[in-house]
Amino acid sequence: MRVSYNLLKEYIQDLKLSPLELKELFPYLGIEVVEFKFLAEGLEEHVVSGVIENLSNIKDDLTYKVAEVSIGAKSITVVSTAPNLREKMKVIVALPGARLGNNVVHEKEVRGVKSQGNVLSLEEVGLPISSSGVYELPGDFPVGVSPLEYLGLNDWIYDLYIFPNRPDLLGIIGLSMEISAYVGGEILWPKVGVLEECHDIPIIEVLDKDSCPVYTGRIIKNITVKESPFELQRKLILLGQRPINNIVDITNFVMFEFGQPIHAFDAAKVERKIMVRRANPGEKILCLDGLERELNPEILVIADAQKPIAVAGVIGAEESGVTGGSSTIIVESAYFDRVRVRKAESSLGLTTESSRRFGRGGDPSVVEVASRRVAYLIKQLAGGTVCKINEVKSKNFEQEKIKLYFKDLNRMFGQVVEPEVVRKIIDRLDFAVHGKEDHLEVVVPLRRRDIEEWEDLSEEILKIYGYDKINSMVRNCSTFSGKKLKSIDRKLKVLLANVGFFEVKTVEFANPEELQSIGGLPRDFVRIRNPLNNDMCVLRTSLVAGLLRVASNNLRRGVSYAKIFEVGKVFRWSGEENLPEERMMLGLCVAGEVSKTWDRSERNIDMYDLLAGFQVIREKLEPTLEVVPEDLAIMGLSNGGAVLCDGRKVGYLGEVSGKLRKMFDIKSPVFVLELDLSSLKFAEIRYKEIPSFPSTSRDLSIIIQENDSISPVIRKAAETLSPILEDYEVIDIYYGKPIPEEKKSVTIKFIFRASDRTLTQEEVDTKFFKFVELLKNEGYEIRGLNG
Amino acid sequence: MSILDEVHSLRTEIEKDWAHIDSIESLENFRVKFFGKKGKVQDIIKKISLLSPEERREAGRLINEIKVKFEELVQERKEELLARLGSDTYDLYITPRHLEVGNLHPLSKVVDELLDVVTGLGFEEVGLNDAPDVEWDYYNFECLNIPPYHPSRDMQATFFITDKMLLRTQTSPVQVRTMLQRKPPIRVVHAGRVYRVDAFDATHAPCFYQMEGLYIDRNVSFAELRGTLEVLVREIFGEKAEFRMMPSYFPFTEPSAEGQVRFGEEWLEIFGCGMVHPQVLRNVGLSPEVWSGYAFGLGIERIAMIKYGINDIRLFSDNDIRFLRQL
Repeated sequence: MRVSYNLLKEYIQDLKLSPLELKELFPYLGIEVVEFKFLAEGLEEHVVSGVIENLSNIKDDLTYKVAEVSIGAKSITVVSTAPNLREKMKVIVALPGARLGNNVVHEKEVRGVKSQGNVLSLEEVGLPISSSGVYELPGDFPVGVSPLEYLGLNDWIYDLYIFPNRPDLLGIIGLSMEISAYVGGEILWPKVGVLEECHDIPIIEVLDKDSCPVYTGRIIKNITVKESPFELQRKLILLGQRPINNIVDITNFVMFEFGQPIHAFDAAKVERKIMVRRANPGEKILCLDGLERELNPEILVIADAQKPIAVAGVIGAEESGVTGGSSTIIVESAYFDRVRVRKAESSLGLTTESSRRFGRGGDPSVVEVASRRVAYLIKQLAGGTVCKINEVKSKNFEQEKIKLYFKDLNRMFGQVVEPEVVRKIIDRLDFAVHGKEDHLEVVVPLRRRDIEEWEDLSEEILKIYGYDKINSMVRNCSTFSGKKLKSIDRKLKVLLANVGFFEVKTVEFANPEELQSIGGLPRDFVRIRNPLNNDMCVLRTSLVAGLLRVASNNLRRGVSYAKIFEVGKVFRWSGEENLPEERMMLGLCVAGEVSKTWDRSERNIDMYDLLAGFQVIREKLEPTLEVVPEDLAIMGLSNGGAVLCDGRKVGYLGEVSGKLRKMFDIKSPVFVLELDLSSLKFAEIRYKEIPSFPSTSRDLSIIIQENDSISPVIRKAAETLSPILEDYEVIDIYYGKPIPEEKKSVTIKFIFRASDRTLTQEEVDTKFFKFVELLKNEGYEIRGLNG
Repeated sequence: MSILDEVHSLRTEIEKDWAHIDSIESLENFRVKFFGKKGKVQDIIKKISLLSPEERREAGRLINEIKVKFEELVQERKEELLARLGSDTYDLYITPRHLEVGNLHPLSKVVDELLDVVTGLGFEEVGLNDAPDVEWDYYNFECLNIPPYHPSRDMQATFFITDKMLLRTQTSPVQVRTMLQRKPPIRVVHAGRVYRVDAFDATHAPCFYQMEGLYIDRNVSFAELRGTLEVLVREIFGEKAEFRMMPSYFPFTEPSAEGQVRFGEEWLEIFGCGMVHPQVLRNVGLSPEVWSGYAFGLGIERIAMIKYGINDIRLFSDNDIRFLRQL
């Protein structure tokens, strides 16, 4: 809601606040000031009235005129292209330094003539009122004074955000009442006295009484449709409305005054009668904004005997609108059910100043008086004969009566507010109140239909009493044991961050093609009806796409390598009757290359970086996770494996395929892991005694195929060397001469220890040689042994 | 020159050379020159031994004193120099060896810090299960006193999945789910993702994090709500943070308030809060005659932006490692 300071002052007697003080008051009323500005900002001191004393052309150029303008003490030269300049014309002159929107007026040379200022149109001073060219001040306007006051520009605009429960604040009168409840000052009611000179009434049939409990129509004859006077146009512009003609402007202005939308029909275009009914399926209406809209039976329309002439409470039809040719009109003021209007808004995708007010719930008590106000203004500004109103009313609106017990109020506030204080506050709100010993009986006027229970009243009281007058208190909460969730993900995140991984958070939205390229199935997708764009039209079924995007962004921006993880939900569609399945996942991703520094050599990030991260969490989980090779081509992965927990698949890992890398624009190798956390647990941590006997070790170098795993060797070792085999470590991997091509030499250090004695070298040797023999028998080529 | 003079002049020479010793080599040269088997001290001792006992006494005593003293000094110095020799010299300006250190996402950290404070006030974190991101309209809106076509639905532009299913626009449905499952008193907190139809720009995102606290008990007051929020503000923004409450509107609280904290000239909204609306209590089967409560919610990104001086909300979902490393 836009409103100006001077406009509010017309409705509040003796408003004591300055424009800035008023701005600072609004938040205390629960009203956010979105914008506050002085209308003459940049014009003050730089704008003055002048009179054109002499007008000439520049040589042969007819587009430019040179005006000698007297601004009182002196005369200046102004070069202008305005078509309507003439001698003796009174004009608004902007001198150098004036700011017009984003432009600053300077002295400048035009076609060899020095122009010392501008002559202005209304648009240039911020009043886009229809007029051609430079604005002409009245003939008796003094020269050399500021025209800002005359133009109504010594005013301040407030753009206010009004909460949806307060439609009453979408009118100047409602706002004024709210302000006066806080700072005092009588409300100055606008004039509504009008003589009803004629008994012609429109025929009105309300077929859907639930959607339209009150409908009034009033005929006004023989009006003159023309441009509104400057003052009304100016006010509408301040309120954010474009002036159209006097009739439309008046209906709009009264809407802004009372918060009650009004519509005027050209009576000549209304066939026989007015019907308030639901739209027929497929019925169409060409609206005032020039668009044709298709209606449906959920929408309430105003119709004549043949066709809809308005979408009730939303917008009128172009054909039946008031134009220059109209002479008799029907003024509609009604009360529509807010849900009905909201349904029209949502099925038409259209919100107007009118629907915004009706959709939040209007005030049935203002319907008739607003019609009178319109009639009064039309009589003033358009002449004509005002007829009687025809009101069709099917419901009597009762004012809410609320019992407000002091003990309830004090209990809620947590402190005692004196009954006398409460009573005074309610008085200021202009609600009827009857005092009883332990409570008040409050009658809430119909304009405040947001107040239904005593708790609603308590907020009104608190506002005026002051939210900050409530003392703060912290109760002893020893009966509650506050605690965080014992979820696995918090610990996992810390573990990974500690070993060099960065936690990322990507959006849950995803692109369906991307999900499919990493193995997502369309039947699993949770599809958003109104997505922001195609990249965000389904919910993710995997964390991998998001991780690849983050890795790609980082690498392309010059970060040398990315080691990242995300813990987040993935979603799977489970039909309309169930909420989608949501699972907490861990995703891990490594990519890029480590650059050379004095302490480390250059290398590509590889699978072993991924496994290092995996190892850290694997050690802490129970039961132990295992990796078994699996073909993951469908997910765009190679060198892949499934992660098993107790034989159940809980995740997978692998190297991202070239195709997928291209899709995500990643040049270096990328490796990913995804793990379903929902069934995983941290193992209980138990202290294991530090071994008291020394260990000994044997190294084995073995030659295997380049692509083969050492896993069979390790398994064999575990079988044959237990229980004295404690651990193993790969200490070297070697390719190249003298190792044959397509083969590699792997050196494994086996570590032996017994918990109850020092192992003898013979004992270890015996077992170890037996193991080596076994390997040889199986065809393994042994390159070396080392004890 | 008498032998005594010779000893004195040797001592002067020794002391002069001693002052210039700065390495193991120069120490060794010094030792050989003066105290070696063919050194100058040995030479003079030989000379002295040829003299008569009377002539010997003073010079012998003196040279012996010098010998003992310097042999000790040499030994000490040698150990000292050797200790130094064992290590290299270090350039303190060489970039140190690389440690692989990652980081938690700043939003995780802020959530964690806030939870520490809130749980310290006796709130129990909920939402491991039964806090779905995809929610029924009923829990997200209707039960919270926002029936279909209610104008306040416009305050939260909603991503819909079906007519009845949506992405939750607030963490408040967890209030409803908790109240339906537990008997009061209830004192819980929940943090999680929420979604609104808002394109990304510097201050908007289609999904962000919220935290929400709920307290239901007998005789819960606005004063306690205020007290709780003040504790939170002090913990997050420091002892000196200025806090105020202003009127606001949420369909599920009455009275509703906005908790603001002052930063310089500006008051910034930190909390949306209020006393639980009696209709919400009735909706979950609690009598407003018996039970009352308060609820508060806050935006995690907003807190993080203020706390770290971040001016663009997109940085949180952009995940630039150079950003993540800093915070």
